[in-house]
Amino acid sequence: MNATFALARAELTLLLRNRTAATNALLLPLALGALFIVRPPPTGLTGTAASMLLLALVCLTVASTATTTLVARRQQHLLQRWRTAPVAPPAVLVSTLSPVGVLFAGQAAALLTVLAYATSSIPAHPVLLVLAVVLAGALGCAVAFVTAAFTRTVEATNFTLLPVLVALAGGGVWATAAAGEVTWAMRATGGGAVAELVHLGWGGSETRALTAAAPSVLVLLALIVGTTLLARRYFRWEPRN
Amino acid sequence: MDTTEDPAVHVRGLRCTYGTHEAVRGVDLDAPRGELLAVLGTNGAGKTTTLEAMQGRRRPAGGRVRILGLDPAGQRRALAARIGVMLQDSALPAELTPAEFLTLWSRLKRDRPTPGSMREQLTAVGLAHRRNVRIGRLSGGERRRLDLAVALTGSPELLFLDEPTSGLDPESRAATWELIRGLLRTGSTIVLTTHHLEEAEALADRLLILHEGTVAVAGTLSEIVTARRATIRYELVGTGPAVPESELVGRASVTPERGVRLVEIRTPDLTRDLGTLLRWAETQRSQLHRLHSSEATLAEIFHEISTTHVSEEATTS
Repeated sequence: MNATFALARAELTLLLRNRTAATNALLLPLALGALFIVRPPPTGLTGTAASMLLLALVCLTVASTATTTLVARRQQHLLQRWRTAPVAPPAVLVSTLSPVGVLFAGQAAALLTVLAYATSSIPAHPVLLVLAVVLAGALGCAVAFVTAAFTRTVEATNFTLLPVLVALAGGGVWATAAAGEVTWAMRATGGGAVAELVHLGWGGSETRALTAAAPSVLVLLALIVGTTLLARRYFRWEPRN
Repeated sequence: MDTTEDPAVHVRGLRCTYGTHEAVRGVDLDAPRGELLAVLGTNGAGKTTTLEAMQGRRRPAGGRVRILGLDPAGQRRALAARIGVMLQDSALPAELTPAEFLTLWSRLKRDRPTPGSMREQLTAVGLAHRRNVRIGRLSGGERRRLDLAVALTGSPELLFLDEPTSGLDPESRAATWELIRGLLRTGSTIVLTTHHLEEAEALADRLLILHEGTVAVAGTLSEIVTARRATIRYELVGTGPAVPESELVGRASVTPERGVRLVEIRTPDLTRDLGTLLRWAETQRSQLHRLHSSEATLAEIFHEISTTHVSEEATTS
């Protein structure tokens, strides 16, 4: 645990000292927060705004940053370096991505609070919202592992991440446009399931929200397990030639 | 059970594959405790793959590997706490400083770093004055030396140094050699890979030359050199016999050049054959001009091994 914490702290230092990553981490929530305050979403669309916001964070902060981090660490041979230490491989991967997870959780908490303040509304089911944040973050990390497994260089993430981002963001828009009639196909994109959970969490009816959330939770869990198994099969510690 | 009599490194029939390509094909090697084993070979000979298997970073396709009595594939973490590894590529985070990275590495190795011990480590590799500079701003040679300091963290029982002096200037290389000699004096066991034959000659107790995934030659420098044929060379003027009528004829090559004949004899027993030659020359009253003899050098042996398969293929194709 001590080793995992030491590695995670080093990764956080690396992230903060990387000017581009640090600026993006700060600018994104600042810009979106300012937008919500200046132009709050219309009444009735707060759930939509919240789901789009969360998916934007999953795409940009989690999937994109995590994939880039993993590929960069592999290119720098740092993953190989950590493998020469007496640390378990899952601990190496968790600590490598934990700063991204912390950043995502912080951004999501801050922005959802700003959204609630700007729209003078509060989530109907905060537990579902927290569940959506946790599952979306986990999915983003799992997806990053798989994408990194098939990505040779940091530059190549621009291409390999594209289908992932399209599925997450596009699925979210698709499910939101369905206005309550979310299908299994929409949920299977990952983005659709996250959007449905956020909608239910923010404005779902008192009685049925928890039951209605079950399919999305199950789909997200299945996606997380599936992508993790894929990553376990194909992830490489040494640079790809 | 690991005992001090067991070799620190014991490998038998090691095989490693990349897909269908077999990079290491039945390698046997031992490194006794307190000695330095130098692993030599051309690019792609299987040096780094062999090292990775010994460190538990690559699961072998076959064979038996025991490092400090442990199975690296199944006991990687326990082994990692007892060994130091200097990777071939300087795998260091550019945004951290040497002091920060050594502190981190000490924690990972469950070593308790003190400012004094860290300064000592950095001083040993000549980097104390650069301890608070970002690693990204260090020169290639400085990074290599930091790599060595990292490998030494926690006073490991066994060190794996993968090309430790590549990219170093002659002064730093000499300092690194002295550091390695100091480690050997304190009883450390070292497995070192290098492209520099003089480095292996200067430091190694034992040598192993890998070629195309197999062990071409292994032993002490003296064993390796004496097992190879030495060479006698001289020049002859005139048209008489160039070599004695003995088994030397079959091992001699005679090349006419500018009025003289250049004679080269390969010999497994230099003393005996040189005596035969000198007695023959006296009897024949022949003048052996520019006579000299030499044992095979490591460079010649290495060259011979590294070109063997290539020339065989060229002959068969």
